[in-house]
Amino acid sequence: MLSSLYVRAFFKDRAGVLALLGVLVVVLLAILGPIFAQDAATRIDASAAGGGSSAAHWLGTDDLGRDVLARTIVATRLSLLLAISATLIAGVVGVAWGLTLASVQHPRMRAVGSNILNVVLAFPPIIVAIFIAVILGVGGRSAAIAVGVAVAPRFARVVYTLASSVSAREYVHAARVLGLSRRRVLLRHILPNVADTLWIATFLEISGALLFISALSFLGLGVQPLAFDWGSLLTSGLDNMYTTPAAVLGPAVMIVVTGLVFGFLGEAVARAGNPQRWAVTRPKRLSPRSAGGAGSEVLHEHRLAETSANEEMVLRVENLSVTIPTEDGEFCPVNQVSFEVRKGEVLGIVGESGSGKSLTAMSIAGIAPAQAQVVADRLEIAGEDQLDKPRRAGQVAMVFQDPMNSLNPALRITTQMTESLRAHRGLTAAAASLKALNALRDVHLTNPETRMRQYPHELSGGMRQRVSVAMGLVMSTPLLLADEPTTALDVTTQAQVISLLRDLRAEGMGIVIVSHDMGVIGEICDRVLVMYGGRIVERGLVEKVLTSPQHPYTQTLIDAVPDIDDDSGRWLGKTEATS
Amino acid sequence: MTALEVRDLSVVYRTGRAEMHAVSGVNLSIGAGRTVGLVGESGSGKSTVAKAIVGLVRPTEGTVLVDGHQIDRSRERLRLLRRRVQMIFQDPNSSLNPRLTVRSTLAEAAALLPRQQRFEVDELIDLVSLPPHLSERFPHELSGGQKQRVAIARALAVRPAVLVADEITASLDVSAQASVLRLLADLQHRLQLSCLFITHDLAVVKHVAHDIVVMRFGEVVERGQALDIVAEPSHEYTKALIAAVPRPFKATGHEPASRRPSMSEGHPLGRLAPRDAVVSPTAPGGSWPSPK
Repeated sequence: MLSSLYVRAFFKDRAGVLALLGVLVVVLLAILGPIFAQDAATRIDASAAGGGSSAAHWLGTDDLGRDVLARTIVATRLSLLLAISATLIAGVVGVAWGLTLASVQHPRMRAVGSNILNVVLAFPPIIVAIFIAVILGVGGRSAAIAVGVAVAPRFARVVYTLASSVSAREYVHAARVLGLSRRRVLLRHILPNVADTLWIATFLEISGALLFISALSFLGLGVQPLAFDWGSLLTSGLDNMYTTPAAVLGPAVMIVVTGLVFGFLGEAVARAGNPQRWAVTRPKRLSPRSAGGAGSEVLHEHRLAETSANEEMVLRVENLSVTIPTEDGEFCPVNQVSFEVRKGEVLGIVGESGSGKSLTAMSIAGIAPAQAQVVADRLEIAGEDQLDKPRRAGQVAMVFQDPMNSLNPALRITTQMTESLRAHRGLTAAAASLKALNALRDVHLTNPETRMRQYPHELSGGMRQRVSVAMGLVMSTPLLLADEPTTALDVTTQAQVISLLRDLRAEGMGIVIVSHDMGVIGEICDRVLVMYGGRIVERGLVEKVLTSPQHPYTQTLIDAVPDIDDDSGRWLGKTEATS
Repeated sequence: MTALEVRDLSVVYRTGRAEMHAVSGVNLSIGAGRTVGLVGESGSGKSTVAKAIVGLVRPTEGTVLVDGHQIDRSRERLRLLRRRVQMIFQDPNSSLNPRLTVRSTLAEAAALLPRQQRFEVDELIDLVSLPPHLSERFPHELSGGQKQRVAIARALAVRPAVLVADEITASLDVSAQASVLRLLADLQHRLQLSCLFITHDLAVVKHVAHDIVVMRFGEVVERGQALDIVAEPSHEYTKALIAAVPRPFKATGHEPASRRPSMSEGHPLGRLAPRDAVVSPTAPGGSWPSPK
């Protein structure tokens, strides 16, 4: 069943099918060429020697008057056989080498092995191949072995690197904890998960081997006269390149085309081998899980405190929808969402994965994914219409979940903080860094002068999150969008970030916090929206929503949150918590 | 009876000339059917303790005893003993092999037991309350909570006595977290499993664990019964941890504490039975379902 899924995935991929056709043509040439063209390729005709391209000889003839086109076609079989056997040797030796090295547990032994591999890699493969070919003696077979052995370390390196990263994954740990044998862990849990890249490497290496063997033939170490491959044809054609250029063209084009089709086929095979691409056979879940019971389509609105029309709105969103076209029609992850945020107010958007809460925030910030179509009747930040603006620089600051990923690891804090000031506000470097320094002070970062010169990896998670907030402050934007700002942080750090956001609120910033964490929402937000399946299902003051939720989904959501002050032991249905 | 005991465990990581004391002199013991919550923030060494217990990290000093027997890496016959302790990992996206279906993943683990004791894959799927039709799915076709259920089933397939759960709900949505934890509590009860529950979330651990051990910088700073520790922490660090836990039900601090509603009295949610239909109730003191 799996193989049929695999085949189906492969044939869905147009590039893969074309590459397969190309490879089939080359393979057919290799099989049929010598059968039909052997005679033309070896017939010596002194009268036609050294001729250019003509109707009789499309690619001309060589010194002995043999037809170059026929020779090129006949050479396909030998060239391909040698290249494929060299790659097989390299693959088998290299994969075994890499996997063995990756399965060494002892750190020092592993370092030694990896360093030996690095030293071997430092020698250019062609030099190693020449060296081995000289030892083995000239000839096609020894050229293939020489190239195979010379290229093997490249495979070993790829396999070792990939396998090392896969062995750090939790399913490999789990397999080891279960007590599966080392061989089984390697062959079933590690190897299949490095196969993608390995397939590509293997097929690309066929074209590499083709070149190396041709080079050996060129040096006289490879295929010997009477036998001929594309490399030796290229060599002999090169002598007369100025008189009969077509003679070089044939083998050169064949080497390039063969390399390309094998490369493309490798990529296609790798793509099709990934089960994540087989999912197309199952219908995509477009409709949200049912929230349970009636009333799930109704928006439960808690009566809000009096709102005066002239109150200053930082953000006004009316009927924001996001649609994503898919194969099965349009998917609408955000559906007709309207809300507003006042100055100095914190709005929480709560929901679980797939509720559309993050996409809502991203659409407001103007960073929704490219394929998503964002429409709204109104989208205003600080009274300014944002709908037609492609970028919202200077209007919105954004804080993301993972501060490690949202800061550029290659740049110092100062560079990251000042670049938008210099680009959008036209400040000088000195003025910008003064402003950045003040912003870092505002977020209560210790030693801001030192921190400015540091890189993100030198800061702790909490410090990095403060820096992201400071990056928003520095632009003095009216609106801060925080997408799960505390999810990746420890509780004590989380408490610091929450108190920082409270300070910002006190200074009049409008803040939107997107989170699935009711605790965080309850701690800091004034109002809250509950999103489910792309819609707002409940909204109101945070106390009201948390303590008397009207929508069944809100109720399940709140019910799912453990309360540290609840001593009844009922949350997990535990009857005797201290027994 | 003590299912798992950790004595004077120390783990030192060496990188070049630098030494990092990840865990220093930790003692733990978990009785049969009990849950110990191991609490700490990142860098506290709690995950290293877990890895040392299941043998993914070699302890620099100290011993791990399962059912009273010492686990020694070098002896092959102790592989069976080692199997008595299984681990469930944090990241549902990384804890299942993406190339294997649910069925193959579970079948591989189940096949490790002798034929008479072996679980059928369908039994395992039923044990963790997964819908049977998910058995032919690949991990990427499952939700986070479903993946963690498969991971639990895989661990149970070798009939362990102890489960080490390392932040298993940290990356799940709240409702998925609650249902996975309910499942775990139910399984523990039915199968008399012991559990080392590692988390940074004190609100969760209070509800899950009988006892709590608090770690900081590789050392145990406080231990005791769960309710006591949360109610009256004695170490400064534990106090800070508990104070930092967000209290959604106490609202935003706009209201005086006297008006804050509590979960247990008069709260509309208090009436809802917390145990949902996901877990089938079973008689207390049950044991492993007998193999077919």
